[in-house]
Amino acid sequence: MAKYIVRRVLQFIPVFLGVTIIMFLLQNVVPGDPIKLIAGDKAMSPEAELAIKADHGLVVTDENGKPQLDENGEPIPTPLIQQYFNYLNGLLHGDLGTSYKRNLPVTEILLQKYPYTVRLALVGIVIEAIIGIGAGMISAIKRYSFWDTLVTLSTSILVAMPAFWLGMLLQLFFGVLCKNWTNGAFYLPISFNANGEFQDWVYYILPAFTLASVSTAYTSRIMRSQLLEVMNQDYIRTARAKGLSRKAVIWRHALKNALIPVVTYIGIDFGVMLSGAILTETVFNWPGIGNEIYLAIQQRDWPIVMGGVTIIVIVVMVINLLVDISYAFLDPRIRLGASNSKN
Amino acid sequence: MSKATDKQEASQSAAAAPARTLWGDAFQRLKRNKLAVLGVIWILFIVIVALTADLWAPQMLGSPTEMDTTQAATTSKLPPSPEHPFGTDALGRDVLVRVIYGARVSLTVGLLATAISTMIGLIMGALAAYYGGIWDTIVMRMADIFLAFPYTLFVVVMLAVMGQGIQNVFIAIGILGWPSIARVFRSTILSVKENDYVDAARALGASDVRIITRHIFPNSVASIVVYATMNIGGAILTEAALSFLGMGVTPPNPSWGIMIQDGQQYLATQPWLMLMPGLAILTTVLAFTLLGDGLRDALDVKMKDA
Amino acid sequence: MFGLGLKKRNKTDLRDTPIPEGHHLLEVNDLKMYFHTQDGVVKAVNGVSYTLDRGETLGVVGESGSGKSVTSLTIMGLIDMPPGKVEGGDVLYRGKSLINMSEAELESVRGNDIAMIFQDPMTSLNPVYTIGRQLSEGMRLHKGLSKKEALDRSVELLRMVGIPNAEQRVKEYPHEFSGGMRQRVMIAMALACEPDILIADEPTTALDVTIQAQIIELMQELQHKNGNAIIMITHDLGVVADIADKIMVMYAGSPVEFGSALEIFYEPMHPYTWGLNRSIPKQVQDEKKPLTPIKGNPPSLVDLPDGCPFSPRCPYATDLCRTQKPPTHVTKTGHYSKCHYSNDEQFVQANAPKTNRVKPGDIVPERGVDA
Repeated sequence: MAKYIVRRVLQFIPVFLGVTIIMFLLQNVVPGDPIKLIAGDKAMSPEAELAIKADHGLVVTDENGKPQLDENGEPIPTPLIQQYFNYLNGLLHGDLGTSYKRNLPVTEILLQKYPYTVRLALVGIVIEAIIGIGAGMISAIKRYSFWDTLVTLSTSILVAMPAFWLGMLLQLFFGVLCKNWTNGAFYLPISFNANGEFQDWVYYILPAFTLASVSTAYTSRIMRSQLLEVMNQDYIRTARAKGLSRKAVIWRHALKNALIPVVTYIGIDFGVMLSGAILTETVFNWPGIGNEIYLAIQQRDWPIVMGGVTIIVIVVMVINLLVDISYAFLDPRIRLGASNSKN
Repeated sequence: MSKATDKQEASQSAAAAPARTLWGDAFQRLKRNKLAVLGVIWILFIVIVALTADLWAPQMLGSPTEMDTTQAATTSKLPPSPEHPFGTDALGRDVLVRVIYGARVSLTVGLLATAISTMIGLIMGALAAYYGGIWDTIVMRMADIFLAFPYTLFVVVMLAVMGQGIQNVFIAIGILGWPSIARVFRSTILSVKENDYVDAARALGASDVRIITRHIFPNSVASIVVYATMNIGGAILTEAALSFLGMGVTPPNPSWGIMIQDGQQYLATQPWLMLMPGLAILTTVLAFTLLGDGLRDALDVKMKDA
Repeated sequence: MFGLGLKKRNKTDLRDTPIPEGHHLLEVNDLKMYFHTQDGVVKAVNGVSYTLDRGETLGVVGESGSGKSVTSLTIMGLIDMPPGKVEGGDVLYRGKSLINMSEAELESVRGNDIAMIFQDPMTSLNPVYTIGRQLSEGMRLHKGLSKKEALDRSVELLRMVGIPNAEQRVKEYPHEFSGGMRQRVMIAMALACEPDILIADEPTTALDVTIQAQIIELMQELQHKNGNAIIMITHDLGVVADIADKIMVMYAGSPVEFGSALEIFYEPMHPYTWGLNRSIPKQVQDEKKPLTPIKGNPPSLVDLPDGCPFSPRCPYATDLCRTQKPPTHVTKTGHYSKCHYSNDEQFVQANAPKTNRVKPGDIVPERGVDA
């Protein structure tokens, strides 16, 4: 197992480097001058401009942080590859650079936003697991029934629907049409109390449902097809031949086998949710990391975009690794290795 | 006597089952799938409406782009009526005609982005599976890198770099969509490659290109068609999302995503402004999904659920 | 939630009730199981009858699709209905109809009074649970044993079926066992509740030839000990040759010949049985070629031939065979055959294969000397 984890972590390194290099290159071809972003409309002296460039590591500096000049008295731009290594070096020390626009460390900005994304993802994953697995099970157990048709139909529609549009429909339905019943509680944009905290957990439901909609549909489809496939296995017939009731066969024998791939899917999807859904967070004006990165893209505030993507990629990779490890724990064939199957 | 019976039986069964091709057979099965037929009818309807729109739509419903800057109460934000079946938007434009012209954007992006993804995916998949070894590692690692990005975020970043516009939208979606097609093509090639007739062709001295185009491609085309069909729906959804975020097609060009974005602020008072383009996306994507599902069943393509 | 359905059912086991006067342990009377599919009605079992008593072994022989497995799955109540439907006949176990039994009653018979082992041991065990847990399940269900008791008994059972190091093995998962070992586990599982009847559906087909004999011997040995009846389903007449008391030969959903093992081997009356006899290696001495396959394929069960179902493949078929259903020709001993010409002794004498199989009581020569 330890060997496996080490191998997975080693595989992760080239992918991580690839992602950051691509981001880094994109950042450098993007139109827009960071100085203009930082200075805004204010006119700026060349000295102040140079100082800012030095702060952001865009020109070569001496050990005191002073910009070095070449023989013509011009500042020397930091070579791209040097910038990249500086970035990696900073990353190892937990430093993701400074925002152009807000002059705050990127880590500080992201850490402030990330809890909202995490909480939303947690509610979303609970919704996905409960509704997705439940609907898939009903669909498979009552195959070809009214409920099966209903589940199949609604999953097809959910998958074909833009999630942001679903979010607006939910706002329309709960916030506008059912105003009297819900007391406007679901209506958004959400309100904060004095501490900047949400007033009520109910505000999580609609965005979390929107966030989870497509993957809930997929979860239920996977659950359905897995359960149907497992129910056709020989060992299910063996269990029936033992005298177990249909219900006991499903709960004791079919479910665990069918759930293994479903749990894997949900786990991986949790990683995706933790990467902050731009669309859901925009529609619901959610102060999470996705919204933050999206605003940063619009403002060309690249350190935030770069830092955000870096964190997201790391989170997704770690979650995927955890999913693989738990998969091995669920399935004894992988946990114990199939090497000694012959004796 | 028994021989005579055998022959008789053989001729009977031959008459009962006329020789059919894979595609003929699949077409028969597709025709029996009501949902898939519904999907095809809806797709054809939208394609015809979008292609012929110039001939009749502006005459009947007014220009899709020309704005009434006065925002007079008599022309803007009108509820659905016989004159404006889907109502009018804040700038006095007919919503139906904008939905019709929006179909052009969606279909263009859906088809062209899928074409680009499929082309890149086929080349990468063939490279990985056919040559294997180091090629396989490089291509699959690249696919991993592309898939490691959160998808929406990646497209948005790409467009921020490339700039807005319909052309950049389908290029960006197309470029980012190749890894899944490449994986599918790679795995079908790997399974087809195991077949004896490929060895036989190679033993006869056929070149790599010939083996790929004559032997491997025809045997993988079914799964490629299914994936490509489903991919079109996905590309349409991505275009809508980008335009909704203001990173896609530029206004005043009508795109379903832009229309939803425009309608968001009138959600509580004029909900049809966001409902109509949303329904257009939903039905179109659903039609491609149903067609894709139908093709998958008809062509008997095995695929993973997600 | 995983405790669901493992409470001991408070009922006396059917196997403790005496067999009523005039009944056998198991009686199958003209059983018909049809499947209603899109392509038509598949007559998978079309009039099967036999009786079985304790200690007896019945061999059911036929090609794939002859209905031999469906017959036993019907007895076990393991056919999904729909699409399956019992269109006639009955199955009596100790005089009680299994066909009319409620699902709950059937559940207390299954695995308890009548147990079954299946063809492929590699896929018949649940991969995610230990052997011990899967062995215990039936005993906890039917006998109300505690987890501990059931596990102890599982160890005993594994020992009984000849699995070494049973205390350790009981904690292992199916993938850690070889095919032969898994089939031993299946046998142990089937015998866990000491059933009256053990149905074995092609128990050795998926195994190496060397293991096959061991498994058959094990089943026989345990039968001597427990006195249970065995129904052995196989496509290979050779497999049941040594162990069956009675043999039923099935073709296209119905029995074509039934008799004692000796009768089936030495006095077969049906051309299909002759064909099966000819296809056993080292069984035949009157032909130049040692093995003769039966030409052709079984008929479609949706659209059976008008006359004898075997007539399209039968080398002796006449117009009578092709147009009329054959009558059942029964001898004094109860040996029967469904063939128009079974009562024609000359025809049978002239065409039945002579076997070199040694009748019990004869002097036994070394096996495999002849070639």
